Amino acid sequence: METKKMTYMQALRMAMDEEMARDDKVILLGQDVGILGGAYGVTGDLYHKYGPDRVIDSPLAENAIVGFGIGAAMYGWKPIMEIMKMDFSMVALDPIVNHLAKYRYMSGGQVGHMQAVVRTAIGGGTRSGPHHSQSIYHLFAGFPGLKVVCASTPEDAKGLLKAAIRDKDPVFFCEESAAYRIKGEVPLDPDFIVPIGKSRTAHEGDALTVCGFGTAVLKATKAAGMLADEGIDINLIDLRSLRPLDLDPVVDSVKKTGKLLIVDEFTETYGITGEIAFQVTQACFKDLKMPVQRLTLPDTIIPAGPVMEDWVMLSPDKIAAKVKELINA
Amino acid sequence: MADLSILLAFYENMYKARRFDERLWDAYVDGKPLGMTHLGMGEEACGTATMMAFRPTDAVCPHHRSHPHLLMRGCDMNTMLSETLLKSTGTCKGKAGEAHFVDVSKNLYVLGGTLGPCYTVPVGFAYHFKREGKGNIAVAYSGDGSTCEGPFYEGVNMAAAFKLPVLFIIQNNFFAISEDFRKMTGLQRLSTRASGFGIPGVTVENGNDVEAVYDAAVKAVEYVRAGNGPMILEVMTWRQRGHAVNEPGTKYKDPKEQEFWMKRDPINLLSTKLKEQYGVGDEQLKAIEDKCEQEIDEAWAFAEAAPYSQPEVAMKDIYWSANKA
Repeated sequence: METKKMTYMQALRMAMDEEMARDDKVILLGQDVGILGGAYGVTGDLYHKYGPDRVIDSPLAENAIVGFGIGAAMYGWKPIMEIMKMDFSMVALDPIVNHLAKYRYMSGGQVGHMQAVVRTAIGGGTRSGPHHSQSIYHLFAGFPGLKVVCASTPEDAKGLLKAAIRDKDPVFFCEESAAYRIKGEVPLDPDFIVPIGKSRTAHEGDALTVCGFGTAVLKATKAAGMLADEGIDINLIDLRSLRPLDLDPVVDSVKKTGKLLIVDEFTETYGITGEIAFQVTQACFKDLKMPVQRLTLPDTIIPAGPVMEDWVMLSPDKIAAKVKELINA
Repeated sequence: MADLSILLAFYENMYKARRFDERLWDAYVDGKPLGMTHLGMGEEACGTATMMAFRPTDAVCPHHRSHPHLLMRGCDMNTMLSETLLKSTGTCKGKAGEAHFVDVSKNLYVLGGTLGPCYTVPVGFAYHFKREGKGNIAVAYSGDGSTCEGPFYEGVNMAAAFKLPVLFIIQNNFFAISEDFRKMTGLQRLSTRASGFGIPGVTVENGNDVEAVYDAAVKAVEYVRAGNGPMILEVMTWRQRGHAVNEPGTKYKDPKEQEFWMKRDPINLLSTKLKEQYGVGDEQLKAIEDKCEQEIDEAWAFAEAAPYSQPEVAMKDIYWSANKA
């Protein structure tokens, strides 16, 4: 498969470009997605390529952006709605969870499908503070009717976003803002798709099982490299999708390693780590040599100041240290 | 002036809706199992008259107090009442209840219990209609209360900014449950909000005069269909009873206002007009009323005999892909 080295952001744009070229019904809306090319630059030149009827600069009104997308989707359009930061999705919570997720169900199936994507940037480490840093994807994963995915690499950014756009169910698509500029090889095939609901093995090994999403996986990948230099090979699994949640590879791995560390850049309590721990414990209680462990942000708010933020966020060093601690326990 | 056949159709629909609601009230008093229901006695003119002004291909989004709207749109009474009684024969299989009534075959979408999307989802419908270019429009109904919510401003603003064909109809019955809009806003009329969006706003002062509502709706539809962008049509009416069947509405209303509006009952206004100005006889009205009673009897027999949806239905229609995520 022919590939090209590009950034995570370019891979996202390529996904939208290819899908807009492939299907006239795909439209893009959100604040700054048009002339500016996106507040972070993700949509780039798509406005000039597809015009203002399909790449729609919307008022600063997240609630109406999602409402508009729902209405358009119910009449056969395939909207990609951009909400600049996941923190801002809180002001559009009602249309997302009460309508986007439920309308097909509430109509008794009369609304055939709700083909729509909500794209949003997540994650800290950018000195942006309490309203621009949260990875609160687990909230949306708690609503049947939605699918929730999180891409960690440029390849997945393209493949998962294309899968989300083609999916006939609504997909909440989380983009790691700290990963926008990382580079990787990305397949150029316009039909390259990463299916939603399939985990990926990011590092092979049997010393310990580690799983997570997004930047937590990127940091764990670096940690895995550092540990490999010391002769420790962990089995690192990028879960990619919070709903549906594909834990089969994790369960298979834990049956061999007996130890699971979940890494996540949400705070310690009430996130998705508890759900994963529960499901894995249910599936392999007898194989576990110790309770499922997690490494997360502490139960605080993500601060903007650099010393505080670096202390709060995960890092490859922290993950590597935790892995060693668990292996030796 | 509307011709007689239209006025008789209005009479039939308003009478039918009134009796539909009264029968639900009786059923509640009798302790029959009902879903959530919002009765609109006294407000029948708004839904009845406006629905006559639209095409079947327009997308209409009545709010939660909308039996006259649904009946005038031609929704099947059996499936409509079944949904109110939460039966498997309901349009939504008893999953939604009437506050979320959807009938895709009629391009009719009640946009639910949280109210805000009443103002935003139709903007997406209107995008479709503008791109489609056939002159269809989206109609967003609401009450007075939800104009105090943020999505009202987001939705109307976006429709205005994009010049999309949305007709916003505020069925102003004065009360959000117990709260009088005159106390919850600084306004006496809500259509005046329109000027803040740079769009026209019109109020029908006697929204219980079905003919006046119809004339205003026809003009408003003409304006929106012509591609001028959205507008707000406010219809002043009065909720004769409480918010829902569990609350009679007596604690917070001024008795004088209640009396004033009871004298302006929309069905009485129309029957008087039909008799005095059109020479319609009592027998002719009685024949219409009997026909309505029979239809309602049949709908109750149908809905009461129908089974409830079973547990397996609760797990269907979550995902198109039937992915058990």
